[in-house]
Amino acid sequence: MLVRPLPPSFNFDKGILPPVYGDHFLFAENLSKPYECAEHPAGIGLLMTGKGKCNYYVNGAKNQLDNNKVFFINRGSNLAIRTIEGESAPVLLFFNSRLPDLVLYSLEFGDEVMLEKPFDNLPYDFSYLERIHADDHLHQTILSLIELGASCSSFASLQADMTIRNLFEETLLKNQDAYKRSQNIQAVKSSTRLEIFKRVASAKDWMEQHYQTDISLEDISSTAAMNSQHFLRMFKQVYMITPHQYLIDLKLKKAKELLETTRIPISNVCQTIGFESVFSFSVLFKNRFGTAPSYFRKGE
Amino acid sequence: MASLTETDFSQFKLRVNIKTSIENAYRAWTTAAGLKAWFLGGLVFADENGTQRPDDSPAQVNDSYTCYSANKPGVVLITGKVLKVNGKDVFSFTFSKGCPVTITIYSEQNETIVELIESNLPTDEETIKRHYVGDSKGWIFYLTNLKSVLEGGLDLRNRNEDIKNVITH
Repeated sequence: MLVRPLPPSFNFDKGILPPVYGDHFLFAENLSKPYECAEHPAGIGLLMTGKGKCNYYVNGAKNQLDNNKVFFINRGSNLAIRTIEGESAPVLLFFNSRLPDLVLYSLEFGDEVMLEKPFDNLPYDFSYLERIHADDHLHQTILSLIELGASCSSFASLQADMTIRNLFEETLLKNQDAYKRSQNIQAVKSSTRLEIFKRVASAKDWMEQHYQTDISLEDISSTAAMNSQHFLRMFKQVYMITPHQYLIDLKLKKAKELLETTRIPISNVCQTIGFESVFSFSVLFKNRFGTAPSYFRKGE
Repeated sequence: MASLTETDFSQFKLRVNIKTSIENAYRAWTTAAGLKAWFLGGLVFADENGTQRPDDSPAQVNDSYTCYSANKPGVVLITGKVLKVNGKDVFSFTFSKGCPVTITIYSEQNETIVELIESNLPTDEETIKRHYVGDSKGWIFYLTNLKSVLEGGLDLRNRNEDIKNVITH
């Protein structure tokens, strides 16, 4: 992995094809003034910001990123960048152009085959479902690469390369799952399926961020910019569960985690995850995990 | 006086003297148990059929190896292949970028010398910075740790996950 400051343009040769990266390139910089980069064909990678907000325009569509949001971009998509605040820190990780095929090949055939057979003749092309992911782990992992790039740790570049490889493998598996789920959507056009999937998935991410508050179907569907009944149908087609069931499941999983890792009283756990009634919480918890919260904590 | 020659960035050689036997040093390189005691982290050798070798069983030619992070046991750091073993003093394997690393163990002045040669490194400027410099720095620490573990039993690897950016990690 090579760490570089933001260039004036990522289209190094002013070509019509996306750049071919012979290594992983991490472009990152703390900016104190606005930054703009004109539209150009991009490599396959991940876009985010380490600080402030940053607008990434992908194939003309605006994606405003902040906090824990990460955008997957495909090789060949047109990218323009515009920071909107004085203080920001755009971060762009472009994978070694051959990595997608290496990982896919490895997942399919195993590392053993990779060691035996060269992969020079594979094409370096791949397609993500391009969308924003609200993912703290992914965001933190990419930030840690900036540190690792300047680190004096033994075999730091080896660690960085393997972190990127693992990160790509995880995202590839998520992408395969996302693709399968998007195929559940009953729509004629694949572009419609993709657009619906992106909206439903972003609403699901939003629920994961706000599960502890009092949120309604209307709140969730508005984040997907969809009519609530249409959203309900689409969510069910994608995830085979209603948004309400998914929200309850999120709350119960978080409650389980709190019961396992803290000594917070059960009534406070109940409040923390956004349940008003301890009784209904206990009943739902028992239905989900087979034991009441108090017994679960005691390990009975 | 030795004459000055142009540096060959396609390979580097490191030597460390250790007060131990050649057999001990060889075992420290060629068994999973030996490597776990001083190298990157957990390590597994598997034969050509993918069957994992017992920790104290020496690696064989064409074995694959998988090395896991010491602090994050599920995270694979590197995978590679065993290129050569002779059962007594030579061990060779692929390492970063698939470049071969060859370990040769011999006696000198009543001590055991472990000699490491990483070769076939690409010589473009970026690879020199990252692999010639980066790998040699990494090996210097781990060879020092090998000496420490074999001579005195003190493991110098950092086990505090909250401390980062140190040569012991």
